[in-house]
Amino acid sequence: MKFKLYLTLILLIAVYQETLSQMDVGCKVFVKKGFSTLDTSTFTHDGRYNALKLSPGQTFEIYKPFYKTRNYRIVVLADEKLPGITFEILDVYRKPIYTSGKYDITQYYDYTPDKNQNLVIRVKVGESEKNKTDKKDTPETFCVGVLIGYE
Amino acid sequence: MNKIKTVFVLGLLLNFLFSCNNSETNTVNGKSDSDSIIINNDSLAAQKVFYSLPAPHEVASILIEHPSASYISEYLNPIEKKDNYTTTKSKALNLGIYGTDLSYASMFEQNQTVINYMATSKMIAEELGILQVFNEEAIKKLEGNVNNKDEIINIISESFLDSDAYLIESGQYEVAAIILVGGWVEGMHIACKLSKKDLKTNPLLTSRILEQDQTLPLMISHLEQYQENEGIKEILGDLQKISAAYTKANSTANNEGFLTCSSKDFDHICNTIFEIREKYVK
Repeated sequence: MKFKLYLTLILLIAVYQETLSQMDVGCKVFVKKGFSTLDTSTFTHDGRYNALKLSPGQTFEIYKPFYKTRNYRIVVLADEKLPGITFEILDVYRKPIYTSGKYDITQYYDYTPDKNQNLVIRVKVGESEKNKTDKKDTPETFCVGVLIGYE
Repeated sequence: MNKIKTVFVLGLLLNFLFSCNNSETNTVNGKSDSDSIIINNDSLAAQKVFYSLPAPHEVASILIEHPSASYISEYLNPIEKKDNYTTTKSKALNLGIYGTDLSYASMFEQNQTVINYMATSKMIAEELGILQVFNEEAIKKLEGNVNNKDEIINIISESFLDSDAYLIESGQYEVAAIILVGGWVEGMHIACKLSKKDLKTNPLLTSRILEQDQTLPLMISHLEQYQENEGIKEILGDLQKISAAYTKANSTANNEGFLTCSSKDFDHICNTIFEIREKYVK
């Protein structure tokens, strides 16, 4: 009898972990869709995973060292179920270097720094009128990611 | 019925434990003294902050890739030492180290070396529980593209992305961070070796080594988030030693725009790197 209980427990844990690992598939496949915009024939992806699930109105930031005279492409992409994204590139004092257009699903910016500097990439998910009026306790989240490539 | 209840309660308990772990990942470390990036209300309100430090192939590209660089196989960490790495920390450090080595080899089209180091990286990644990364498919793709340097770099970069995604999505931030440190230290080791610790050997290379005082504070800030981990604490001590060597060097730009410092201070930076790298690859 005990054996059956242990077996059930082991199976439950296995199923639970499998479910978790499936949930954890997260945004990797989604982010790789941005490779075409990154143009991997010109830009080498930096190999870093900067993606997570967000709901409308939420933000995230990336801190990255950029080196002078290197050409970079920064691709920001969001799930099409989200109302869109805006992003900014800020210097260490948070002074904007670039501010994107509003609420497109995929955007990119090519940047060649004239000096070595650590920069902040700040991404904000937009809010549609519907989202503003229809606030849920636990809003749905969707993938948002940033790909950075260097030439 | 009681058994079903027991199983249900255990399920809930597991759920609670995993949820606690996940919520921790969304906290923002507000320390900004060393990375110089100002943390304001906007950043504190962000759902997450990513420290996007260079992965091994970018480290190799930043530090080593330039017209007068050369390939010297003795600078690599031999793959035969793989079995020496038995702890999570040493495996993670050397996954980063082998990552930079294979990227360095790929720059000089040392294709068999790239394949061997990729296979070794795959084994270490598997030992760390990172499955489906540096996999058979990637190795086959490498073998099929031996004459296509750009495609090889893309395969390497995608392997690092897969590895990083796996570690971040499974909450193994410490392991992901240690891999990056290993890759960076190896890049610095190769660059210092190529410079022969002589400022005049290659001013561009010297300048690139000195420019790393920019990456270092970000790396330290990133690791400080996990300093309750004993392994990370030791690595932080190593990085602080390197940071002190950079502070002492106090590099300045010369007339050609290259960073430079005294020979003694440059020697000290490289010797500190050699000492720490030696400890990691032992």
